[in-house]
Amino acid sequence: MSSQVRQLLYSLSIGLRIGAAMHLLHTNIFEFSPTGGLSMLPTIRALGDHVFVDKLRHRRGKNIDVGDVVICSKPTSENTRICKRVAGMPGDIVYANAMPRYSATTLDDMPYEAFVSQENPRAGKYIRVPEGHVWLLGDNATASLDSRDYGPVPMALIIGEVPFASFWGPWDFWPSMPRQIGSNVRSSSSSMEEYLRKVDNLFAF
Amino acid sequence: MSSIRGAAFTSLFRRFKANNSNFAYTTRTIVLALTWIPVVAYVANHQVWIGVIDGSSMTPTLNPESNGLVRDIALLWKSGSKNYNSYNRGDVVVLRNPRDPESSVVKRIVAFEGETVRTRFPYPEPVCVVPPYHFWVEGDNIHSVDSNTYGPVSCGLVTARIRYVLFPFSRFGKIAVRGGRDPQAIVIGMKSAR
Repeated sequence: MSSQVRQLLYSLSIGLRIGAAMHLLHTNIFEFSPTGGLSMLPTIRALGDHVFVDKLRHRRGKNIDVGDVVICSKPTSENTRICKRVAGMPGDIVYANAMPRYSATTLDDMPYEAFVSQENPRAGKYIRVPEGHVWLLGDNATASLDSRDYGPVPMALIIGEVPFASFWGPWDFWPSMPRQIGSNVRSSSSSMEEYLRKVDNLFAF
Repeated sequence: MSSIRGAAFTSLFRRFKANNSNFAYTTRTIVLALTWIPVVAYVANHQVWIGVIDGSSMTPTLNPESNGLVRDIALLWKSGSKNYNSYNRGDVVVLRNPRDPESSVVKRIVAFEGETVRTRFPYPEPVCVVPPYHFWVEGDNIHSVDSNTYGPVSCGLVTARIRYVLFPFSRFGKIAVRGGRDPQAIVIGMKSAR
């Protein structure tokens, strides 16, 4: 084998190892990726926002709590990731209100059936979130396709938690200062039981 | 081959062939071997790996003895596991347990999106329409905890498909294509393309 061929093979193997290491880092530890859409609007911009995804501590729904913003594979379509806020943990009772008939994402010529996947058996009912599932809601309720449509989401689909987001427009050289997202609720009332206990204490004279 | 004794950049293959016993050389070889771990991890997570089948939910296709002493080792084909259209009816898949994200289960695909399934006992309704990008999965064993307990499962939960059994050498080869309840009898509106 000539030394040039060996040199080429060596370069390729170095590239393979670095690529695999980067992939391992991105899938298991940390990711910084662009996010968009109307569904999280007051919290995350429709365009140009980038999120920091903590996968090491929160992959597959570990250490997730109500109020956290999570990145998750969409249960009803391929190669799609969603960014939503956790609204209910396993065992919590949530109100599955119906999706809005007309919303910011349904156009006039777009039928409601094309937007919402099918006849929703949960609409208008109180349901208990099953074990190993979470109830996800977008902050922008009128333009969010979330658990109200596709039901409780398995925790195994959760890719990671979003502690920070920062704006990085096409005209910006560098992303803006990261701003905190979603952990403000955790400090006050992390679960339904804790919340109810606090309410009980409030009225226990 | 002793000429590569002090060389810093030498391939792992040549290093093992050279068979040197110098401390610095050995250390360098170990470090070089460690750099290949991410590549192995990528193959194990996204291409192909082997897995030990636990439990009796796929009896008699997998673990036919069901005494827990002999456990099957199967080839887990992970490449393209998120490609919904690549699945056929009767494929045996490994998926994350929807009720417990840290554990996995092995089940057989019974129905695809848009089809209606006649359900079994633990399911609250007599029939269920499978949502888009979801499967209805059941174990070959009648006692398996499957979609009749936790409903249709998203294709995003599927991590691998099983076609071959490797370990009890007596049963080495392709696994049975059919098993469990007959899809022809329980799926309403079956799409013939699958």
